[in-house]
Amino acid sequence: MKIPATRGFAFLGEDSKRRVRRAILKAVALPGYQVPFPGREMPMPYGWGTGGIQVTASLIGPADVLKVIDQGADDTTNAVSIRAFFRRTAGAAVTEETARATIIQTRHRIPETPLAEGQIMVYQVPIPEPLRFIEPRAGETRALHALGEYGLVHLKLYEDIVRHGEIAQSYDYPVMTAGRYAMSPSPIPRFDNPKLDMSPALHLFGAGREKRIYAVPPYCPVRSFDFEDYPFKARIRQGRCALCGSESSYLDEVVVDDAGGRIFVCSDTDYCRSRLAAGAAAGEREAAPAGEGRGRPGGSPVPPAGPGSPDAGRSAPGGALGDRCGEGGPGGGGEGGATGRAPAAREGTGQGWNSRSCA
Amino acid sequence: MEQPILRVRGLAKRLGDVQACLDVSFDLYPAEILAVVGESGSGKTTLLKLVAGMLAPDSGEVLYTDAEGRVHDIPRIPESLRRRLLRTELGFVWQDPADGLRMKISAGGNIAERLLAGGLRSFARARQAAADWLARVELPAGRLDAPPEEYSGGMRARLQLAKNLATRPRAVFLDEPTAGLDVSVQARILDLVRGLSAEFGLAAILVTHDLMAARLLSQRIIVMKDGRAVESGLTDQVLDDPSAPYTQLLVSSVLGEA
Amino acid sequence: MSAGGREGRRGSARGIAIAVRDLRKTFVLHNLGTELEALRDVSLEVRFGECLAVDGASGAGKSTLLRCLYGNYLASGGEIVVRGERGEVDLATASPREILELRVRTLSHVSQFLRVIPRVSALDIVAAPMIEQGQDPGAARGRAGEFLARLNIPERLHALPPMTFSGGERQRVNIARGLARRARILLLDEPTASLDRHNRQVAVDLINAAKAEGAAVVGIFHDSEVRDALADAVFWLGAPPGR
Repeated sequence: MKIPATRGFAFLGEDSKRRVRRAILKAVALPGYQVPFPGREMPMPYGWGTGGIQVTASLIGPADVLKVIDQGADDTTNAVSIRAFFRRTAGAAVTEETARATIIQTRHRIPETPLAEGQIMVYQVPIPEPLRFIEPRAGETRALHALGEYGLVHLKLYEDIVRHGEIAQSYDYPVMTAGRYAMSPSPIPRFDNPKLDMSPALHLFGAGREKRIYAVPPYCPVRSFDFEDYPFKARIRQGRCALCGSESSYLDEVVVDDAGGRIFVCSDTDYCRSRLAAGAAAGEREAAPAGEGRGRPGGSPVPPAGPGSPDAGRSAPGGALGDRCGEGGPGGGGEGGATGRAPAAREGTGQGWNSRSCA
Repeated sequence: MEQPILRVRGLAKRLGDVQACLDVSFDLYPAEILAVVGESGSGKTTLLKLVAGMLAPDSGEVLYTDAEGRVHDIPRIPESLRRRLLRTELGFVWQDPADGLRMKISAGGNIAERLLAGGLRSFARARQAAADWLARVELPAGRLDAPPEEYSGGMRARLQLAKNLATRPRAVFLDEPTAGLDVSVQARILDLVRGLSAEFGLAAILVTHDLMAARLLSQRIIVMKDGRAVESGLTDQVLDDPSAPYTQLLVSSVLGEA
Repeated sequence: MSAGGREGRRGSARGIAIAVRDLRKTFVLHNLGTELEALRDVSLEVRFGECLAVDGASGAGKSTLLRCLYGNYLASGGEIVVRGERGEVDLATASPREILELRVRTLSHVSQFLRVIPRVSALDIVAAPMIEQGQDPGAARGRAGEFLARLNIPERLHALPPMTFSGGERQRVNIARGLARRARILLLDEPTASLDRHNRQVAVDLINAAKAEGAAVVGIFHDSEVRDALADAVFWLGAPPGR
């Protein structure tokens, strides 16, 4: 792919990328600490992952393999757009396969497939400040971080239990990083919080609008805040993927027809397909060639799961990202289907528990 | 004789062109309520903020002896220690409860905040402590989960007291805690402070322009004018037998008997 | 110009409770630009177990003297040496803390008016000084109840704040508060002024009982019957000049 001559490699100029990398180095040295960085205007609105894109742009090189997911899916509008952006600006190799990727940019999920040393997770962060919901004064939150005073995090959990009878925060559940800084783990479901703890991969969080970068370096202890009598629980709900049958993965509810029929499927599309492929390889299912994606052995076989094809069920609604959290991204981008997969009936992602944290 | 928990020496502070506090010295003893009176602009609140470490003095010392007997010069200790003292052994009750409360957080959460900040990690115990203090300041148990923005002014004032007292502080700084409240509500709050002081040995500095409140609550009094302490002594003695010209004016300008 | 004089003495040889020497009290009225001399060259002694009645013309400074003995008015000159639990204290030069301590253990002042504290019950008003002394609150309230009952305050009123009480009832609450605490020195400013005959006699009996327990009493008694029933000696205050 040709890199447009008017821009530097991966869109940003070398100076800009160097400044971002300096912030990243500092962030890695101070796990969980929000490092300010001179964020640039990107060719997309805030709320579409500008922070993550700047981090990725400053890190990506010719040898990297990029995976981009949104809500765990590689084929949603935003994921597809960002992947296309780096293919165009950096000539990057892309993949949907977690194990093959060297950089994984994500909005809502950490892949189910365990991460390995050498991999970098890049998170698109809307609100980097975990104390914001209780203490709106930025000067005061900075002081609280500096002094390590995190009673307010517990105050938030207290309020949750008072209002909901339990800790209801299902997304963006605050963690203590390396025993020092309270950190907002982007809007990942709390289901994914344990994956951050002692992870062999490097996790980088970029907040474009607020111009902050923070990090969880490899093998860093990350603990979710909780009460003795209300201990942290990662699982929000038990269930089984209607496609691959996984009982341990994070599930999305998917509406599959006009009658309101719904199924639960893995939110991590790559994980789901690889399980199905493995099942096919074991001869339990018939393999069927399908889908887009590089280096992925086999496609997704289609088990009957109610009316409407599950393949369609996996597709992204147009502009699914922008308005989900009401953070100012344009709603209904209408550019779905860029991958050639039909933007069909997947309307369920904006409902139920999946969208709780955004309320 | 008992040792003071607070020794203030030669405090001075200029705010712009105004000498808001000049050469103020006093001691505060356990279980003692010290009133600071004077009209608006006399430097009462400035003095209170200087003592609480919320303003840095131009000169002078605020020597606080903590529960372990260590002496801290409040303006000169590290910010982290000052903040810790202010949310454990000390308390500050703001004139406007909105400054001292989180208006959208439940009353129980407001009371629990200092306990949680102090490391309490049991929800049940935090909630129980909040309920106990709510009862202690005579707020209805049914309002535990209501945010203060739904409370009346008098209820907010009492909630702010409860919030500060939940950590059993050794001294609290009260900035006009009854300003703007009905007389009957004022009486209730003053009575509450008096009872807590007697019961827990709580010391307090009460900044007020209300001489009646000062007389009812305090054992000793400081009269401020233009940033200086023009007279100090036993509260009843200063109010009944004022010697400074300003104090005589202040006392005589009160309608009826203060 | 006159100093006070003492007449008669039926007292004992017990220790001196209060020794006043050359006490002077001058009020400086800044807004009027004048000074008012209320007491001049007052000297007196009171022993424990003895009652000294202060008498004199209206405006002679009787109440002023009593207030000086309590530390409520600051002496302008001279000495007021009070025998406290920890030794002698001169009220003319003592620190506020020293005076406060004397008031907890030693000095009890019963004025003509009860200063009502909103929302505090009659029982607690009487018990408070005892609790302040460190007595068990239950025992203190028990004794408070006894004194209120002796002074004929109906039990149903004990739990009420005396805001709504009659003048006589308030005064009896005041006497109970002043006497129940077993102070070593009683300063009584017309304590029986608004009492009926029966309650006046109760008050006299209680004060005499306190005397018998060794309390020193300095009192202003307009009622000559009360004075005769209590006083071992009378201290006359002459009218100060210019009045």
